[in-house]
Amino acid sequence: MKIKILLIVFFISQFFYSQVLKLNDTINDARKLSLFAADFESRTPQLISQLESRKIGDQKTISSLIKIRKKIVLEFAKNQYIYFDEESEKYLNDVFQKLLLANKIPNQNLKIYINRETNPNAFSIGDGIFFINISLICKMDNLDELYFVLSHELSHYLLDHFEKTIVLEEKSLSTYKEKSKNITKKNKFEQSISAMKDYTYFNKNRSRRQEKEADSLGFALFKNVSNNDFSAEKILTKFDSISPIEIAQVDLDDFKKEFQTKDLKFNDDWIDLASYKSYYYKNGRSDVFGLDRDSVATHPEITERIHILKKQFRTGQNDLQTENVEFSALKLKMISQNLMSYYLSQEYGKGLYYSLQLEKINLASDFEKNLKSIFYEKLYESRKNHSYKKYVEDVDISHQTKNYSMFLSILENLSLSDLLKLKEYYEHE
Amino acid sequence: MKKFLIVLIICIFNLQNAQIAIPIFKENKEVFAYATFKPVSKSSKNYIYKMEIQDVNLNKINEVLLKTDFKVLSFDLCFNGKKLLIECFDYDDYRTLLKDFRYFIYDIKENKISDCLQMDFAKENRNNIVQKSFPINEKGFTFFFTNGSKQETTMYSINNENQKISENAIYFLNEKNKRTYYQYLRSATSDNIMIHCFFDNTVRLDGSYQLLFYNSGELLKTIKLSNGNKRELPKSIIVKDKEVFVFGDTYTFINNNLQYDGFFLRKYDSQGNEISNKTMTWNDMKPFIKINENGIVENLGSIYSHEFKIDKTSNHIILVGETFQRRPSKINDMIFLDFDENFELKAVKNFNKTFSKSNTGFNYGNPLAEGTDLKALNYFDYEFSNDLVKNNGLAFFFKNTDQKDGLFTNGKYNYGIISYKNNEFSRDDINFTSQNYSYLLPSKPGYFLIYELQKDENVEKRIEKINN
Repeated sequence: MKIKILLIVFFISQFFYSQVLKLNDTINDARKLSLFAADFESRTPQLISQLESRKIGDQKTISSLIKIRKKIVLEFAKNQYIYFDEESEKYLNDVFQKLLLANKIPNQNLKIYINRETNPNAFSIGDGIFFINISLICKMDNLDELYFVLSHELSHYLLDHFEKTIVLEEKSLSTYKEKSKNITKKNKFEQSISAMKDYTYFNKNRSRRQEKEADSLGFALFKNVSNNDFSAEKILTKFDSISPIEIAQVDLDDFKKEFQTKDLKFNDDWIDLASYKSYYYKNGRSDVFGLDRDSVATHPEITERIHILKKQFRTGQNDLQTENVEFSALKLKMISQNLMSYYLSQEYGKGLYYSLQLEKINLASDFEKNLKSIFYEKLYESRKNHSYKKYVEDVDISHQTKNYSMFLSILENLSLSDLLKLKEYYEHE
Repeated sequence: MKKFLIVLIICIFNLQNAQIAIPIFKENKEVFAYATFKPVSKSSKNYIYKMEIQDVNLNKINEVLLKTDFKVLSFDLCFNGKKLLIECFDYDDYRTLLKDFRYFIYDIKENKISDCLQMDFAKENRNNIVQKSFPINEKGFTFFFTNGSKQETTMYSINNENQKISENAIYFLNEKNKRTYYQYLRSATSDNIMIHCFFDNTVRLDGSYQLLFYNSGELLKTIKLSNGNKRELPKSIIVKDKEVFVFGDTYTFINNNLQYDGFFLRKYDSQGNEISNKTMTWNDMKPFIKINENGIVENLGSIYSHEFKIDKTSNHIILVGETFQRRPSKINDMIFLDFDENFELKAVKNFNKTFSKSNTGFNYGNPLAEGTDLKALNYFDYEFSNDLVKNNGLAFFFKNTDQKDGLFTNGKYNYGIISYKNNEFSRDDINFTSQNYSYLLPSKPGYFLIYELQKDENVEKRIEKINN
């Protein structure tokens, strides 16, 4: 039962394990949050009846699912996970309505919300509510890309993937339990691993199959609102990008400017990443239990999905970028809000890195500059309290871009007094 | 997904709690990586553990499964720059009989683990006690075994492929033509130089310490650290620029008792030839701190010397010690002695910390024996040292709590770091963010690993910087 709940929670929210966001009542609008909660709650009876009609689990399972669902919403509310902005929400829901109309799909109380998860993502939670996050919108280049994301998520909903997942997970779990019961004393470990592999691969295959189905149907829906098939490919590749998102390239010259003031001289030793080259990070395909890493990774299938998707492309198309003023305004707002998301999720290192990018492309207003000085303050305080690594990632050259690793290395090498100098400098700037 | 898999594996195998991270040190004592061990399966015949290796920033490098035929209570690691020796003990104190001793040789680069290995030994040696192992620079490993009945210590070396290189019994004949039994004390290795220190306890009270100099496995010289009734107790052996520094306490036998005299430095070349021999007496400390001729510091008591370190920039020698009062034992301040490279005392500095009282009821005639037992029973607060910056400055870590109340019971505890840089000492205190089980481990120069068990039972490990 516990595993089942975990599975469901995992499916509903991959973000559930992310860092806890901090309350900030000046931003979060209580009225909007209560409206969201009411909307969310109003969908519960319908979801219960759907689950019951499909005979998904017993009453206890359904009741647990509903409880967890509610708990998640409370977490959303508490941690300012949802970004409320009428203008942006209206625009996104209008775009969504156009997609529905173009495909002659009646809008049965379908609604899009925006969240502050800092890794690009969008998802449907099976009751007509869809989430798209700020960082994903930041990575989009045009309205066509937004259309494909919405088409894909709508397809998950239309194909009942949420309900099907619960059914299939339950089935695979009971199969797994059955296998575990029948494990004999001889080669107990090998049998356990084999059962675990079957279970993991089954669910991953199911997930991959659903993604491909959503791509396929999504593309069919997308074609009715967009003439740029290439944008579908482009946005898919953006799901596969390395965290954190980068909207502009900042390099050593930028770091030298940033981390040098009249009281602080930039030290070239700060960027020494040579020591990490003495390690031999594992490149094998299997983990220690023989599980294929690629099969359990988050987005290993992107290349394969793009390959399949391209077969549906219309012939004779050009990659024409169409300018859309409203979309550009939305993106601009999201770019600014993304900085706030880093602050609220207490990812101060990523926030500072993002601030430098905003400055590089001249999108840093006073608000963003103030936030940058707050990041320095937070970094200084955390260093002082020896909790710095709660808020800043470790250097990981095998999984980060070279520039981000370099940035983290510099930041890590700054002493407490260096951070104080920077904090004071950018406070007064 | 990874987290979910972990949950799943926990449910399948009903795992025990994971063992803490164990630092893997390079030959120069710098942390190279960390290893963590988790039991993943057990049956009547097999125990399987997963070992994960993380770099100094806690990024995963590799993982591997270890299969043993007994439940391992402690793992010990020895890295020779190429291969990692993983020793498995069924006791917590890292001592085990040779017949029960198991080990693995792990190739970090290739991520290949050997089978579970056992020494090829003669029947009469099955009850030898495995004492300690040392790396042989990229080539293999050396083990020390002691044999109580034969009164000897064996030095047994293997190469990276587990083939025996050499086996030498270390024993000497005393005046009564009997073999002497050597109890291992301390060692240092650098390139091909290896220095070991043993205690000859043939004569119960009048025993003395011996230094054994090896080069490429060949015994070059034996040096007895005694002169008449004067004795030297080594606490640190450091090899620096092909020179060997031996530091420790000096004492004298008077009327069958020990008189604690001060500290010494003996310097040798790599062949074991003495370069210099210096001592410091309590009188030398008087200009810096109120201390009497018996080495009792006013209001603080006797000094227990933990270790000596050399600051690579200034070549100054720092002794880190702790003061304690006797009858009953009360552990007081941290104390630091700053010597120049000629072992001339330049400064003494003490740092206040929460005192601990021992309820062991010790009543020794001398502070050396009492300090040794307090150390063995873990009453002192000093933990470990590290370089403050690569090749510059030093940092010393200690617990700041009443040991009697114990750590993690009342939540009122923290750690202290004393930094030494440019001949100045400074202090930094570390307060944990949770009141759960937490501690520190060594890390790369200038950093430490902080381990905190969170309220939800998750473990948070972070590499944090020393503020100085």
